Amino acid sequence: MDKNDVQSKLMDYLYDEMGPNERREFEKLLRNQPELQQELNEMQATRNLLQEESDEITPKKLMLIRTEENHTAGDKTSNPSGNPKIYFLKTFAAVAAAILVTVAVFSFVNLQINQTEQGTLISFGTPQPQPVEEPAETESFITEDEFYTMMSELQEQNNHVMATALEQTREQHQQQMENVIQTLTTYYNRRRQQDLVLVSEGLAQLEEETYYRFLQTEEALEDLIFALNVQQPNE
Amino acid sequence: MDNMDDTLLIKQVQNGNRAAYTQLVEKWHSKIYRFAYRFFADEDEAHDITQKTFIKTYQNVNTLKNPEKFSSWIYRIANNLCLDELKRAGRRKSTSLEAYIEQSGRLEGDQIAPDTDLQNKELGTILQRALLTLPDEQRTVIILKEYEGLKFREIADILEEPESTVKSRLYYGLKSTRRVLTHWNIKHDYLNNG
Repeated sequence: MDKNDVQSKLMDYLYDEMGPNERREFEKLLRNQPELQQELNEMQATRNLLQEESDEITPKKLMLIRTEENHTAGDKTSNPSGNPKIYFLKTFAAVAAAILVTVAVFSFVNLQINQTEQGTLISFGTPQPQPVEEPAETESFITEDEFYTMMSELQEQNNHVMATALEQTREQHQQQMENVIQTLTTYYNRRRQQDLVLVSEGLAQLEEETYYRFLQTEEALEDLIFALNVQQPNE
Repeated sequence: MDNMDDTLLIKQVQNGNRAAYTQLVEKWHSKIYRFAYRFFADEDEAHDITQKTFIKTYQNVNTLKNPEKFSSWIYRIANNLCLDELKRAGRRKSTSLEAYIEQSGRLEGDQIAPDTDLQNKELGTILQRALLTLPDEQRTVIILKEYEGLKFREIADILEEPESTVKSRLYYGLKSTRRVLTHWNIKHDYLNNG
């Protein structure tokens, strides 16, 4: 008997799934193998401990979920009444009853819905008249002289404001012009200086090149004179 | 007799009798919930799995060719849903045995004195945690055998594995459970009194 067989028999014996003959044979084996007996005892002890778990596991109630009509076998009876017409009529009656109850409740509480300038006004019972605020009568009068005086004061004020605003605008423009002229002056000065630098550099380069060419011309002339001098004695 | 009842009920459900399915749900509700609860040690998960199991069962009841096998079929659906949930959750709900012992060994040892009489509730919690440390397939077999009291043949049918595999998983599952519990020093009052 190999290890797997022994394990298998041990499980059968432990859980009492052995025939009488097989059981006798295995008990004989247990008597002959103390370590196997020990293992069996340990397994039994573990089982006893597992069985000690006495917590009552109480399931929660299942939620009712209406499954899709075409997917289930029970769909044939998904309509509780079993008859589509009756089901439809029941649904229709339920909706009608709900509407009637709503209307009855609304009429009982005298529901009123009014559109006002501020929005929709929903009220129950008889609406109280809203007090209307009337504009208070003005009893203040003004004479013609006072009117002209007031107008002339207003004109003076306006003139003053306008003059101030014009003065401020003119000053702003002047300031902006000065800034622009200053910027341009700076710019042209910088450009002039750059140009001057470039011109002086060009002149210096030209002078250098001219001097160099002078030297070359002199050398060439010297060579020519030397050559002429050398040829004359030979002739 | 129970199986006979289930077979009759399933046949009625397949003929479109919704009331028969309600009876089946009432009958199997607590079993499936218990199974899922022991698998996850979590009430919400168990509730969710139970709900999904009955929805799936209802949706696929017409595909059940052999109504006599309803018991195996519904447990298989529940077990597959549990495994799917573990996969979906990235296995964060399950910890390997070695890792669990490594992480929690000292703490557990400190908390549970060897000679302390454990209250049943505490023991229940510890046993649930011990089960959680097991590999999924060993946990399933222990739950089905130890708590649901199924025969090896029935478990093999549920898991679609040979009986020898089921026995082997149970053997190693029990050994691992003992190992975890011993590591947590739960031995004097319980493990040695076999």
